[in-house]
Amino acid sequence: MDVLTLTVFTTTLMLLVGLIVLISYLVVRKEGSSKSGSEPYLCGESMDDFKAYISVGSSNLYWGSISAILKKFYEVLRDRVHTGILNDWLVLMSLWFFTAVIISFMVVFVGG
Amino acid sequence: MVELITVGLTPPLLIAMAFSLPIFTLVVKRKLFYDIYALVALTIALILSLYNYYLVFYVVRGPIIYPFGGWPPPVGIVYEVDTLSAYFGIIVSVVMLLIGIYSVWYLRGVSGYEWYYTLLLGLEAGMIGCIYTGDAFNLFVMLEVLSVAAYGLVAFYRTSHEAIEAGIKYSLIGAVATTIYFIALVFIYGAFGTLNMADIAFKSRTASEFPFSGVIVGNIHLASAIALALSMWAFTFKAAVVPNHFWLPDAHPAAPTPISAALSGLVVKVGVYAIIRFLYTIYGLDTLQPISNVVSIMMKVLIVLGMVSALIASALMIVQTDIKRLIAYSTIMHVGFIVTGLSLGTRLGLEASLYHTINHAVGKALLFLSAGVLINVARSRNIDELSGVGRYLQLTTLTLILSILSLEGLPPLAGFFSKLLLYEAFISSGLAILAVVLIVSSAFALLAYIKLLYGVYFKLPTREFNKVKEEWVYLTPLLILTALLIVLGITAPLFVNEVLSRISEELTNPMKYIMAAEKVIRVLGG
Amino acid sequence: MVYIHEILLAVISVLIYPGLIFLIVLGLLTQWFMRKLVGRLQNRIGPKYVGPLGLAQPFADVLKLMFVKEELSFKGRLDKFLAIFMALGLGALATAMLFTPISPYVVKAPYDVIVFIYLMFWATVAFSLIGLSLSNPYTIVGSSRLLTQILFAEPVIVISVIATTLVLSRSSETPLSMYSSIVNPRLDMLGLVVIVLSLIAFLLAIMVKAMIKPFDIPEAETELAGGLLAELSGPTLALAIILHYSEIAFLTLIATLLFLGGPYPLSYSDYLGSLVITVKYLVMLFIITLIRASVGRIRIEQAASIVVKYMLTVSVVALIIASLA
Repeated sequence: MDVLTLTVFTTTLMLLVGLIVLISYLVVRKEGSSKSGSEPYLCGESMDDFKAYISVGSSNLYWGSISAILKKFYEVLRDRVHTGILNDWLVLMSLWFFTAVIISFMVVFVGG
Repeated sequence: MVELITVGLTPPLLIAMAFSLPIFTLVVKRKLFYDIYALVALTIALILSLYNYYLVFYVVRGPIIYPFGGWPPPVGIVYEVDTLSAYFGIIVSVVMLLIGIYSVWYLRGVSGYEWYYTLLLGLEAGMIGCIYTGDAFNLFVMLEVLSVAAYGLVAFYRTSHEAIEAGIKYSLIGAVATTIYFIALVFIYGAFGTLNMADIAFKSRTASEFPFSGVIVGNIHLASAIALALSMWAFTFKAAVVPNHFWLPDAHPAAPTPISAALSGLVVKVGVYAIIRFLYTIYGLDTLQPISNVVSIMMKVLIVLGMVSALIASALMIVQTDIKRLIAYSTIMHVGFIVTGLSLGTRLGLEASLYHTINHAVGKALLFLSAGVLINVARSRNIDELSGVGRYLQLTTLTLILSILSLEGLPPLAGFFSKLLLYEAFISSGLAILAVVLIVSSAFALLAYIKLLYGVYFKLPTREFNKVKEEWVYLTPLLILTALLIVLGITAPLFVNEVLSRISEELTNPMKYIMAAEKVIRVLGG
Repeated sequence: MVYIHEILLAVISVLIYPGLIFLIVLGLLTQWFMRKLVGRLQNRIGPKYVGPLGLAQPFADVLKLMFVKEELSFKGRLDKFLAIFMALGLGALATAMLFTPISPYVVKAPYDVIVFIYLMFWATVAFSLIGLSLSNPYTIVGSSRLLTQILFAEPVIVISVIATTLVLSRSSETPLSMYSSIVNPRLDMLGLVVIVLSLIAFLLAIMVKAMIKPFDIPEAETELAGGLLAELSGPTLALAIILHYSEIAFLTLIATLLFLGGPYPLSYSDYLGSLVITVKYLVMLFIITLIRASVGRIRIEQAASIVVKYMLTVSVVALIIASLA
């Protein structure tokens, strides 16, 4: 069969297997009843108010890993290329503009 | 003839309805009237474009032409709708209608909705006009209509500094870009003596006489080279390809969310459409010698730019804190894929990028619209302040997750199939390094989407949200878009064979396009 | 068109052999092998008492988690959500096994290696969501580190697989298909070079992706108070463990079939062929476990630079060589 039909076929199988696993999981699962007052504490705070839910902020999710590894890369990319200043943008955009014009000139005159 | 009218009717009708809308504000003050007015206009546009699609693909099996005022091309302006235009037309009208339905909910409590709807109808008029037109100058005109509506909509929130700044930057550079395209048109007219797309296509391939416009009048080699360079610059601006992409991460977040969906999903695709028209129909790899060399060099440059686009945008996606900005960078990445695919020059590459176009349009619109609901409830675009909002809006979050899975490319959703075709196109063209870039960008994008999902759903809320019930007004477009994503995926084999291969065949063999114009000339010119 | 008996064969293959049941059993046996070997290498005994040679230990652990332990439930748990993703991940791995010749029902098509890769990707996505679903900062940081590791390791795996299938199946009628790269591959000097390079990159990338020392940064037990799986309990934890080891078994098995030639020099129709495959499989596991038992954990920046320097460049070189063919 062709690859597109193959994909549809295999993903149907995948969904079938997934369904079976999910059903077995739901059957086996016994939800522990939690009496109020004996709910587990999260990092020392009770779970009743919102203060307990403050954990790793979404904007800091990759702070330790990506920002540490690719720091120099992002320094160049974010702070020097994507500054938000219109003049910087125009420098790069005109670079592409003149490259396009020069290339097409060269092809016509040199390539013949 | 009825069939011809449907081709030329849509843009003037939409513009007429758009311009008469403000007149009604003197009399009618209720928002519901304008909601229905806009929805009626969008529905009519949808019906017309569906009918055109049906005509082009099944009845006429070729391009259909509407000569405005009865003047034959190239004397008058024609709308020539071939398979590519009909395809893009459907994408635009379907997504715009769903955006219109969503806007009904979104504009509750927003003042200035009458201007919103005016500009929205103008936006669609510009898009359909650009897509359906068969005349290069009319493309310029419609591009301006589209752009002006877009500038106005980006700056819609007049009291927000960010929106005004984004609107100014977008419009300044946008005006420069359309002017550059105008200069390209000057060169074309000076050398070819005509502005009709079929005419230029004919002359660039055979350099012989075309009815009414005669022979070529200048040095078409040099003029075409310059025109190609200038118009590629202008269209890569519209399509937001690096390095002409800087306006997008500012403009798309600042606009109202349904407009962000329209901009990201549809307006940038008009730029892609224009690139395809210029690189395959008007000029192509089968044109006369120096011109085809220019075309092939431009394609190679576009491959590089597309890949750089994808890498840069996916890397920047990860470090955003504004949810709409994250999604905007994702648009740049996907457009990079699309542009790379179509610049390969092969039919497979064209099919892959056209498929990716529709998948991205639907998926991105869905992502923006569902994120918009969450932003509305949380009253903030900052990812940290959005914590846990998704837990109160389960169905919306489900559609958000499905759109993320489709954009990331996981089977069985639609996004996977277009990525599969892209891999096929890249590897069979021998450029396996492109597959590497595709993988690396997808890996970066995965991290960014998971960050989005974490902030919106996994993280427990850190502040009080007003408990809201999900409403059918916005759930309807969300669910329809989700259904489209699933259907586009499951019907992939059918879709590729029936629709995409016909489009790619017509594009790599533009004789039909030219012949259709000639036939109309013979009929009308007598 | 696919007929009823074919569909039935496909369903049985994907559920039993070489699909779900086979993969789960293989995964748990792999866990046993690794634990026993690490124990012996570190002068300990390893699992001993449950079953012969302690073979049943992992099974006992998982069964205990499934049936005996209760799940702690508290506010904001997303267990069912996670379970859906993990179930789909397991389903994807089971289905991906159908692309290999050890399956009674084989699927093949040109470019099916891409489908294969994205099915593998489902399991990756599922596993990376686990630690994020509870607001325990330790698991969240662990998950973010895992995601960073995935960011670097996944391209290596994908590129190695594509490079190898590209070069091995280029003269068959189904290019870039898993099946035709494994059965009757076109093996010449070029192919051998690509295979060797890809094998090295792939093997190391398995360790990065599966969080095996020295890359077990997300699981840093002392640093992150138990790491990635800390907040899970009961059947959810069982599912996560099953998914994790099934993934390891799957990747190692694919490496054995694709890079080491499967039952070479015997053939797939030979019964002794499965013995050869098992031996090669255990050799790969041995290498992985040897490295695991001998080195300490490294930091995430060191891991990233190792991946990029030694694995990514190797696999990209392999791909370039493959595309020159």
